[in-house]
Amino acid sequence: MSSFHKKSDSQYSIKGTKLKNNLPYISSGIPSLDHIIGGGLPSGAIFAVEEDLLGSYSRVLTKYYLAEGVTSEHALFIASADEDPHIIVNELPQPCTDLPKEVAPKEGNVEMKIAWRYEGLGQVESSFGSNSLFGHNFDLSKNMDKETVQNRNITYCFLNEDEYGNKDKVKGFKNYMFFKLLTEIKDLVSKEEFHTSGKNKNILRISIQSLGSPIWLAADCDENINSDYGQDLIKFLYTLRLILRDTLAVAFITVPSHLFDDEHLMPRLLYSIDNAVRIESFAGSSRETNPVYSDYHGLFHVTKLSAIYSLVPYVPPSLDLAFKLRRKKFVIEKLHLPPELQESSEREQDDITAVPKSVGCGGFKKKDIDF
Amino acid sequence: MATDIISALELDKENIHSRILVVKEINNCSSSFITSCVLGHLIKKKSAVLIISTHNSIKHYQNVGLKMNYNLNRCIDDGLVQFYNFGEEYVDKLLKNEYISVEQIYQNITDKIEYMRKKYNVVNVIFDGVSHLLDMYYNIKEINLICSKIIELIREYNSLLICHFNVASEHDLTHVLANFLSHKAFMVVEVENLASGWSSDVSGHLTIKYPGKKFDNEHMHSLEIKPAQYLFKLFDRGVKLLAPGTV
Repeated sequence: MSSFHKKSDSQYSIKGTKLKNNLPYISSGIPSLDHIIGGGLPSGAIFAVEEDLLGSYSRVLTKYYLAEGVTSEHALFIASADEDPHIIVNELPQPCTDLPKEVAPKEGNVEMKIAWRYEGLGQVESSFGSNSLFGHNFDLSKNMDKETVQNRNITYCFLNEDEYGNKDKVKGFKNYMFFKLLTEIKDLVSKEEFHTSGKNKNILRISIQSLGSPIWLAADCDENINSDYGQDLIKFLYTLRLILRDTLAVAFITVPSHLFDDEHLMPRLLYSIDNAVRIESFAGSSRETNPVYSDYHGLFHVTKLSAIYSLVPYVPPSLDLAFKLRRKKFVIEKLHLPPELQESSEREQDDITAVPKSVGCGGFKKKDIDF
Repeated sequence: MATDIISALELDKENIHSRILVVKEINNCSSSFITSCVLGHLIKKKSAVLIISTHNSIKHYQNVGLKMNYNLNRCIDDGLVQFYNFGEEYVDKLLKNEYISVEQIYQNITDKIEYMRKKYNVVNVIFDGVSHLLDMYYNIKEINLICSKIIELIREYNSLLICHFNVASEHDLTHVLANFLSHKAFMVVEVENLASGWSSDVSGHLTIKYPGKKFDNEHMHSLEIKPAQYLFKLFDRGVKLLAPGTV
């Protein structure tokens, strides 16, 4: 037997992680999302989600991320200025224990053969990460046991407006909330268990909800001159990037970029962010009723992918992505047009004059039509 | 695999001294591959380098370097390379409610260069993530001052300076900052992600402009020198430059 052992296996034996480019990766709680961003969220990096207009789907993504952390026994840090972070923890979905059973072929059923001319073609994979063993699926209809959640190492940080009165305490930020959050994160990250070289290593999952919402940027709007709008936010994200770098902490932040007053702000923030995606929900838009998108709940855009500890950034399998939310799954798929639109007649009157069965030979009656 | 980049940047020529290279990152493209390639080249030539970093960590360059056949940590131990993690210093001070003045930044950089010059005649400087100084709330005037002073040092010691700027968008302050320094540059390198998204065949566009050659004899009678345009493809162990239209 060879005396050589792969060093990496023993070095990163943290539950719920896998190693890529000498860096531990964790699951976002959505296998298809992990697949399109290159295998998961790298440790020591910031992952940002640009929220949908109503913020409902980005909230679901946060729940999955935290639920995956609870399932993998990672430490959690949950911060929010808009609502008490205890609320979202009470809503975490339960992991699905039963795996989808494979359908057994019926007896006497001859296996189908592919025509020879299509045999050489690669298999079309429109739904990503379905075969992945990394990460879990969660059932949104059931909440996680309170006991399981309580047993985990969770730190809450509810930043309310009272902090705003402390703005003169710090030089670096106009809004004290940014400073407070940074110091709390720094204190937590400096613990030995979140160092790459420490003993009893564990992952720290940081979640910041709606970073940059009006509560965060209130101080920027006070000023008459709007030249440094969002400066605190830019500085915060850059500082967060440096605090997390080369540690075992991962930040998952949701940003309501559609609320920003300045269109230059998001591109500036993206420089400090490592990986970013944007959710475009159909809810409330004209696309909701468009038959082309009838199978989906919204579009999913990959905005930025970084190469950490490597030269080559991951190239996603497709850039036309759409998502749908099922009870037990959040699926991101390659956007396909439906094979055929719903049956429609060429001329409108054809439909109207068609004789309904109940009407008999009496012909068409106006009252039978439901508008 | 780094030879394409080195020859495109004309670093393989004999007289590369007192040169300023400005690298602009457009459309969220990362230019860290240029730093890694140049580092490999300078280490091979036993030429000393000071890396001032605000964006990427030393571990990133170390991991990439190992794949590209050089050990950065060993070079740091030997004193050939020095890594000044300015970003970390800034954050430490910020969280202690302190502030680093422009003079202090410049002094720190000068001290490090002077220290290296005791052993090496030529000390090259790579400044990674100059645009982050804007994030730290230094204004354009202050950043320009820092860069100008580093340029003075470089000219004095006949070295090479590479500055990396991120351009967030065309009408942004980051673009203005990058353009300021481009006027002083010998060569401006623009790296840009594909506008249509990602591709497995090509990683992005690379355009090289030559403001420093404007007054060369051969270009004296042309209004503007034609920029060199390439496509680049990143690999685990290096970069390949391709002519446009060949992929």
